[in-house]
Amino acid sequence: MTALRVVHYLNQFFGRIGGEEAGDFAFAIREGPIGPGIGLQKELGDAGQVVATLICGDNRASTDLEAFGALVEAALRSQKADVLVAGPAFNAGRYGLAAGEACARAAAMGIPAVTAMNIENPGVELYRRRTYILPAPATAIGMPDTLARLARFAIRLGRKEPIGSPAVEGFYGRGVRKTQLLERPAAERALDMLSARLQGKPFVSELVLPPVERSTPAPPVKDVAHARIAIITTGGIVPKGNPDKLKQSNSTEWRTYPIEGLDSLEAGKYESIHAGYDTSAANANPNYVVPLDAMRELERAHAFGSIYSRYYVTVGVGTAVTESRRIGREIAADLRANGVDAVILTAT
Amino acid sequence: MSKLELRTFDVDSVAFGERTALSGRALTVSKEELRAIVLADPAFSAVDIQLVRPGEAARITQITDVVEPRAKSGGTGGVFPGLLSPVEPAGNGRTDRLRGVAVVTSGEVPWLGTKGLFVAHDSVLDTAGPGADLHPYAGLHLLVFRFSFADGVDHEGLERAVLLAGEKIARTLALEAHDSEPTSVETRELAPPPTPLPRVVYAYQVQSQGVFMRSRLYGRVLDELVPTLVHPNELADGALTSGGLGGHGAKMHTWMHQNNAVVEGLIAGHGTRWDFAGVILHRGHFYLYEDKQRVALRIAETASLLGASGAIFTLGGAGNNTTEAMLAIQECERRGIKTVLLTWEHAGPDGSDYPLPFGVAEAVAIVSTGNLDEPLDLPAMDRVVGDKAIRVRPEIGGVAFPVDREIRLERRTLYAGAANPLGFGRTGSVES
Amino acid sequence: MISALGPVAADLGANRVVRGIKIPHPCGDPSLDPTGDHELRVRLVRGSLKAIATPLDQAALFDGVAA
Repeated sequence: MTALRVVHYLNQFFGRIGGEEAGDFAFAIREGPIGPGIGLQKELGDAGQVVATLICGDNRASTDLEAFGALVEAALRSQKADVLVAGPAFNAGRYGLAAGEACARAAAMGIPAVTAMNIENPGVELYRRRTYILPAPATAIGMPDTLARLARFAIRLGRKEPIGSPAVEGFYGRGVRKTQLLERPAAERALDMLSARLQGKPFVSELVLPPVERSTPAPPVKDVAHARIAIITTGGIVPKGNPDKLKQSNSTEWRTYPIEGLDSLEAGKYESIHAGYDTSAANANPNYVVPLDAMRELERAHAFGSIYSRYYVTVGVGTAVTESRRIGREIAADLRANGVDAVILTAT
Repeated sequence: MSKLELRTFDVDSVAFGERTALSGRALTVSKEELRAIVLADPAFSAVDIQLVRPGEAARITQITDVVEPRAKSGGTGGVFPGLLSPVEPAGNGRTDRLRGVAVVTSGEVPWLGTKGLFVAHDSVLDTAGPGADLHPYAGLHLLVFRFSFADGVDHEGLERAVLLAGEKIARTLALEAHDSEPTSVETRELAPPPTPLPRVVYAYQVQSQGVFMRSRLYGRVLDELVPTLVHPNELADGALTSGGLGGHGAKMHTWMHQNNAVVEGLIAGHGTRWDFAGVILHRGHFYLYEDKQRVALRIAETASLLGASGAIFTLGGAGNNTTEAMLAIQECERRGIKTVLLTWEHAGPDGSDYPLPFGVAEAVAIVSTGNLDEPLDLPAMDRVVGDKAIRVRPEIGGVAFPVDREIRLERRTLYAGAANPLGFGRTGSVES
Repeated sequence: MISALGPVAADLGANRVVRGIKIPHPCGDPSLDPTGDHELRVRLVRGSLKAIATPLDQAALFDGVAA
């Protein structure tokens, strides 16, 4: 079996250029292994050859990851890399970002890649979904063992061997879950878990809920009397007949419809296509979900400036959080582009 | 104390014949007899009856319910009390069940103009291939009744007709066992354990928020249900029935209520692993936050009153339904009752999204039956039982989706039983 | 946000949450007469305007506001 062509990424320190003062070191390609790469080569043995080492200053890389990534891609191509190994970055944050970005780019190109960093390294959270990251201690004291693990993993990746789950292989979970048939029926697993809890024995939950992200509340609108306010709803109110075929669940899109000159949403002209609630009330009076009539009244009374001329609509019902975020970002951009100061969002 | 003698008659072969009868382990089914039973209800204009044997590769479309043949053969009361039988105590005396055969009702339930929630969603169910692992019916003889509906029947009428038809057929078949020799007889009685064991309850959540999404207890819809305590033997006699027309991947069929895997496991462990104190039946998906809080408090308070140390939860749906269960888990844990939740995930098509729509910090013990958002590739089956296309996208009036070929379901909600809500199957989630 | 599941919304990251009436009709109540229902809706929008004008460090729940 021919030796895998392994390319190794290091920062300026491990690449023997310098310390913090060399943080702006420009991206460079060196032949063969350097520094820890020599240890990596030893662990690879005949299975792999460190054909080149890529070196970049942490500051240079992390302040323009876009440009850095492009250079990594070009280097991997010119070196005909079979596998990329980056770091280990231990607890160095900027190094972790660079190592993660390098591996993510490689993976996206179809070149297997692996890096290693300590769980505290911000690179873990940012890149765990895009590349394999092995755990590493906080400092370089753990170098020999980490290099050995990196080498073993890199060989398996390069040889396209199947990689098991994080629980088995030890890399940081990529947060991607696949449905499979396990050994025992779910009811049995659940009752065993109950039994363990009752006996005070250890158990492993099959699901650990990820923490909810919170955002800082936006500053208040100072001048509500002149504010332009838009209505958004996730209640699925659309013109009757659903002309744009908005989906009733698992949404991936949003729409806007004009409400200029309308004093309320007239029953019969609008309907709710939402699949998750009893829509009879909303169909009889769409203002229950898009409160246009009340808003017009308050607009006329100058309680606020004006209602934006269109309302926004989408639905929930199993809509993925990632889709929701994207929809939210797009709507926010549209709101800003249209000079909207605040939003009333109705949920069902 | 409730005491039920459950006689199981295994059925190894099913064939059509002149008279409906059980002889040893061979069941003969008279199409004429059963057709007459169904068509006695004017809601139906026609019924077609087909048989799918275990091992055959069939795709059954537009399932409305699945029912295990059961009938009382001793004591008072009848099966499916409040619907087929009068409202009398269930779960005592003697009940006969045919194991190895199930009644499947199906049909294209008309979409009568209400979009959104109250639409009979179509589904498919495969008896072979990868789909066979996603429901509990693969090893059974399936008697599939395909209904055609008369004009002018409203949603409520359709729901009742379909539910009753399945029950009548199921009881008719089980009555044939009366004079036969059972394969096994089990006495189900939750007698106090000889040595003290931790008491556990099962918080059993069902859907009931309007027509097609309903469940019934002793025949009464559970739309307004305040959590109530039920003996598992009552479930064995069909006190809890499905109202969910259409086979959305998370819907529970009557068969599932009759054979609830969690209940079976709790009964099996009673007296050795725990003291099974009862089932707290409740409804999820209330529209008011306060109603969810009420459900949570009633479950926790009931569990407390029973002296429970542990509680296991299953869901009747995801999303909104998850909230009731999570709040109840929170209340239980605050009272020192240890909980386990059995649920499926909605982690997006690639499995990378938040798995559950709502959570509480106290939910530390969760078993997952996998991701219902994941696409499902199914090979062609040898035959389709029912229409060769199912209806999707009700919100735009319905689009025909042909299923008489290799198909890809963009998400598993279109596959009957896929959510594995009661844990029959081995589905789970593996992180990669 | 106007939501019948106010506390859930606040828990999941919405910062300004007005308690809606019920999931199928967050901004009204069909069991009231049309005048009462309309007044209820106006109160909810007023509560929303108040929330929009309120400085916050973290998520908070608001109610409808009478005139």
